[in-house]
Amino acid sequence: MLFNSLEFIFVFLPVSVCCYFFSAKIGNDSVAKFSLVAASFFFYSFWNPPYIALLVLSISINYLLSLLILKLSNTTKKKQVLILAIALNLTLIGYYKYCDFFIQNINAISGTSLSFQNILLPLGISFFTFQQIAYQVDIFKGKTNGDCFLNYILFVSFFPQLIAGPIVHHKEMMPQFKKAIYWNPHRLFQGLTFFTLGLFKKIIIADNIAIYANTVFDGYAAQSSFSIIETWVGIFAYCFQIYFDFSGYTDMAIGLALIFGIFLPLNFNSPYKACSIIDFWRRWHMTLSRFLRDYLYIPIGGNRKGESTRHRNLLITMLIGGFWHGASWNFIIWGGIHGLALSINHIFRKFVCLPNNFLFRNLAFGVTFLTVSYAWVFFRASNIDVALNMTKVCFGMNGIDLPRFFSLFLGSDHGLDFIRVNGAFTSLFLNYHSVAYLFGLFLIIKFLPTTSQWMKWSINSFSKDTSLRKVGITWAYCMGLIFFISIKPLFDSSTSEFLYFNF
Amino acid sequence: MHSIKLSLSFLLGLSSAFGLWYGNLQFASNKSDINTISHYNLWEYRTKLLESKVSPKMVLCGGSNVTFSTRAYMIEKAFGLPVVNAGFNAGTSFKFLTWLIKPYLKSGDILLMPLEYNLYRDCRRHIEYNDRELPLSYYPEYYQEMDSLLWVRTLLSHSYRHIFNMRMNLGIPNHDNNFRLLLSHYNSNGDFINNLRKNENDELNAKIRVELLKELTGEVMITPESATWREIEKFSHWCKKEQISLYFTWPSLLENPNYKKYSQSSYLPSLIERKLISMDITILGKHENSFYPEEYFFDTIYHMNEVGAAIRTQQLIHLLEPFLGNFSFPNS
Repeated sequence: MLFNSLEFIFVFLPVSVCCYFFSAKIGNDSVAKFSLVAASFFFYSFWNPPYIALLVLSISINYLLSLLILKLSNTTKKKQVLILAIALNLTLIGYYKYCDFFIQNINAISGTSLSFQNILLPLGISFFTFQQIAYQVDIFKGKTNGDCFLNYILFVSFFPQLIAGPIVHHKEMMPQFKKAIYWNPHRLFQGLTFFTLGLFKKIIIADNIAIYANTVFDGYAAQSSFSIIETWVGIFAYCFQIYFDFSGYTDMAIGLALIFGIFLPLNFNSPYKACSIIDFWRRWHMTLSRFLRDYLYIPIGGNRKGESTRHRNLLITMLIGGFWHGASWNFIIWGGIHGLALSINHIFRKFVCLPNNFLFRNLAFGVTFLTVSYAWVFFRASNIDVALNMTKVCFGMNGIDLPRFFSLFLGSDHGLDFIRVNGAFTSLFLNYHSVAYLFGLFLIIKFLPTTSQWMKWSINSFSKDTSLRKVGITWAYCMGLIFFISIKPLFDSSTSEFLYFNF
Repeated sequence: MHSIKLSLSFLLGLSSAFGLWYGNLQFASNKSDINTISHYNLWEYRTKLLESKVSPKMVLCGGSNVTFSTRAYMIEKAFGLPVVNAGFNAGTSFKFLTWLIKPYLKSGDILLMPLEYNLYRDCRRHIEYNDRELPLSYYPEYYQEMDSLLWVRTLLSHSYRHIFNMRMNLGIPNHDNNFRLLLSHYNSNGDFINNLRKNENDELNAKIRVELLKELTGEVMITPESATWREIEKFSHWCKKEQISLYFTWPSLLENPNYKKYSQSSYLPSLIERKLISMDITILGKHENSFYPEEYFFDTIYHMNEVGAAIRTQQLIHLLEPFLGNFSFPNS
């Protein structure tokens, strides 16, 4: 079931909210939590019922192993159990997500013809596996003393974050699950605001811009050719599509959790406003960055053993981060590009001190934005050949196609072989309107606050939840308008999946 | 108290947006846009032809590839039975298309459907242009025959943009004269004749890049589970019950070298073939034989000019021969 489907919005959500608060009122908090777990399992099984067993099995085994770590007093034995827990989680994700990738590479290297398993990827496996690994590590380190089974199931399976994050941490969630459940109408409206704006981002912006990105990327996959301008239009379109799609999803997840009185962590903080790659990773998919930093980069040494180790560790972390997104060399290369860019950024910071003025800030912003945008080529392209082909075109290695009015300045016999004045656009779907649309989105991203910023959502929201913006009457009216505008296209076309559901 | 005020404000906002949309929809329901008027007028013209031909007759039904790329008069001449070109528009669904044609089919008739690939789309998931616009203005009874959930979906699928466009397109001057001029291109079989145009716009090349490849690879939501298959099966049963011979065939299509390079491009044709065979529906020819060179098309990947249409129709006659060649028609 998708957040942007009619059955979710009009049936599943109202029913699960009513059951949750009603059971808290007539029963007790445990009954309410049980109803939320049941709703989450139903939500997950709606997509593929047999895979609910996988989720339940993963939760149960992880919980039992966490209890075992807690009970053992011998550190060596504790460590062995931790290694077992991590290995089990990695085996699970390895089998379901990476099996065919490994077979493909073994076949390519050794010339064997092992048959593919064609395993259907269980939704959210990357997210709930990471969450549970983090929990096991923290149990081992003594950062938590364990929790009751019901809270643990809810921590892993809570439906707003189950499929595509944010990757929640037990220290953020468990204290909230222990609090008394009570109905708070302000939370409902704050949650609805997040949900509505997320829905708007997904349906009205991301889905509409997808046509430009798909035209170019699918066109390249179908061996069509595009001009340099069309290629960049496709790249920027995907750059904005993935941002609005994923941040829209996160807003919806935050909003849904808020309706149940639960605060989820911030996941986006205007990433495209970043003035460096380091800054970008502090703003983009923040919960994944946090996980990679705390459970990968720091454990393998971080920057503790000098500069060269830092760069090596950064590269390893980003390569694994890329591989986490999908079983393909494209994602590994995407991670590698970011790893290299982060290293270069660190080196640059160490040796060059740029003045902090308007010009240099914007220059840094431009370089960062272009690097991030270009890296998305490997993320989105269907294979490496397509990405390399696009790379050639977007850097002008296949010549430059200019709009026809340039012939006024260059003339027909300009003598430059690599410049062709035969029109910048050849595809039906790409034209100056698409450029204007993209520019409009760029202005929105650059100058407007994110939903979280507007709602005054911060890291303190967990402990000091009164800091959130109160929804006023005018705003509630506007939300009603935006809600109708956002759900209307759902009646017109089929529901589109969120991009991050594939990871 | 404050939460009640907030709820009321939210609902007021929701109702305002709904009211704005619904009010405009009501206004637009009596005043169609130029495309809808044209489609309606053309279909009215087609229905007169269908009514004028005595059964048993042959009806060619599908989207505009039928109008532009087949010549009913050639088939009529070859087999000696009345043939009507009832090509409509691919911006509709199989369900609506068959709903339109059903009243004009009689026992003993032969129906040939060279459907465009997008007509196999899931009719419950994709609500096409003409499924929205035409019933709103001219065929409200189509809405009444829908199940209630689909009816609500179809009604709500009128977007602000559509309604705005409908209002903006109102009062196109000389529409009637233009339509009369357009009708002069149609013969008494409903064929669009004397069309000597050739690849007249750049869009033809651009379109083939992505649009059709996506259709053929099934990226436009044509799955083995699509509701359209059930509609086709229901229609096939209805035809059998009414003693109407139903044949499917492939639409005329612009040749694209990428079809051969891209192995997935046979996904949709093989799915269609498999499904139709499982429903015991005869499908004439092979999809790979319905690709034609660019010189035979004039504006889109489905629309052939006079030369192309003649070649295509000759091919259809050849395909029909085993089924109709030895048949003696009462009017022949």
